[in-house]
Amino acid sequence: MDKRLRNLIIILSGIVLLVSIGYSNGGRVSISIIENLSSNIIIPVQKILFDVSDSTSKKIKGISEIFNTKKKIEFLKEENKRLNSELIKLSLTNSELLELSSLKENLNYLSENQFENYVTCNVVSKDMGNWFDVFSINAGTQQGVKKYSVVISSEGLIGKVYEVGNNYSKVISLIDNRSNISFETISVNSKYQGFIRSSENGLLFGNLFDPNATTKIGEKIITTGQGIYPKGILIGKIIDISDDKNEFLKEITVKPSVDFKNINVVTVITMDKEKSEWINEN
Amino acid sequence: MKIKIILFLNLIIFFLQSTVIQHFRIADIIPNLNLIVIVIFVIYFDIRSIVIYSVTAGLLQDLFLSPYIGINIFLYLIVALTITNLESVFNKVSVISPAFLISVATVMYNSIFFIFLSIMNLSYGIYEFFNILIIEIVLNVIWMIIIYKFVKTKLIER
Repeated sequence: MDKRLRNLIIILSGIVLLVSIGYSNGGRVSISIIENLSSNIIIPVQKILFDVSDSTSKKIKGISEIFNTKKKIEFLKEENKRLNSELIKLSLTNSELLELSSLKENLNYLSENQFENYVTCNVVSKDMGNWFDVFSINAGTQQGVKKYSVVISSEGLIGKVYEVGNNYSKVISLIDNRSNISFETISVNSKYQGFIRSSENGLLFGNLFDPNATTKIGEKIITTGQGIYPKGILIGKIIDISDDKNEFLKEITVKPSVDFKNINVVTVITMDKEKSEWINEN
Repeated sequence: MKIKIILFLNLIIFFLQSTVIQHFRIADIIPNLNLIVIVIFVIYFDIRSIVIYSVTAGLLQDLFLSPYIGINIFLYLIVALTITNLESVFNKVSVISPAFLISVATVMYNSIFFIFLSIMNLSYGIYEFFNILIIEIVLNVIWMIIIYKFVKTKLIER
């Protein structure tokens, strides 16, 4: 190939890259007609392949597990002994359970019927590389999903909808997302608020507003309801606390509660008109 | 190679990589089938076919499963054109040549991606980078040897 032609291709593609990255940064407002039309074929095919390969891989894993059965039985026996002694210790009276129930309410922890508008859908494909935790779901504008709709699973907060088509959406995870997330700790004694500001290697980094906060490692954090994320969704567990000398705030490292590589079913919280308008304004 | 065949191959790889391969991760890492196909194109087909495959593969990946549109088109093109220069040095008989070419392609693809992510302030530590890179090289080389042998014996030599 002519060297000049090759250089020209590289320079042109470089320019195209910069322009298109700038255009697509933060997610496109709308998807083209061609993408919507092609997604009518692509998404159903992906769903079939994803489901079939998922069940196949589970069966293969199941077969390989047989060889570990003996070890597992021993482990389970030990676990059973330990759990029995735990059970005796943790036998709670009805009044104590009620107390815990009211405590849960006070902590604003996510309850089963908290959200009125939601769509449960399947993951149909995942990012083809190893750098992003982006995936597609089989729900789009026709199902009420909007750009910035919040995506959760039974494990906790996954992320938000990045781009929406008629019958599919592209979802970006918390760890690939550069927007701040307001959080509060779930603590029996006192609640501390803060914000998640960055992520690295699958972990989240944030600051607590109170420099004298007595938060402990292992405490869980939930969303506060500020911004696009509704109140009470589990984000993850604090695994490290240190002093941020530059900002006089405590810095925390959080391990997300969701395993982003193993998500198959998600719930999209579809926003009401008020929230949608607020997001557009901001 | 005919454009229709290139596009068809592209769709098959897109479907496999985004769905089936996702369930067979090793240490959370998957191989990059597009890079493998690009290297096979470099070895056996003309530059027109290489460029068409690289652009369409990148476009499909970016449109449906990437936060940034253009990144994969650019990366596949850069990698394909660089590998085209290296390919003439090696012979097509040995499996070492394609194994070497896919290793270079994987290093290039991931290194540029890492730099891009750093510029976009989406930081990955250097340890994470090498973790992804080394495992992906191993997986890509294994897949490359299997696919290369299949293509060579079943499709090319026939």
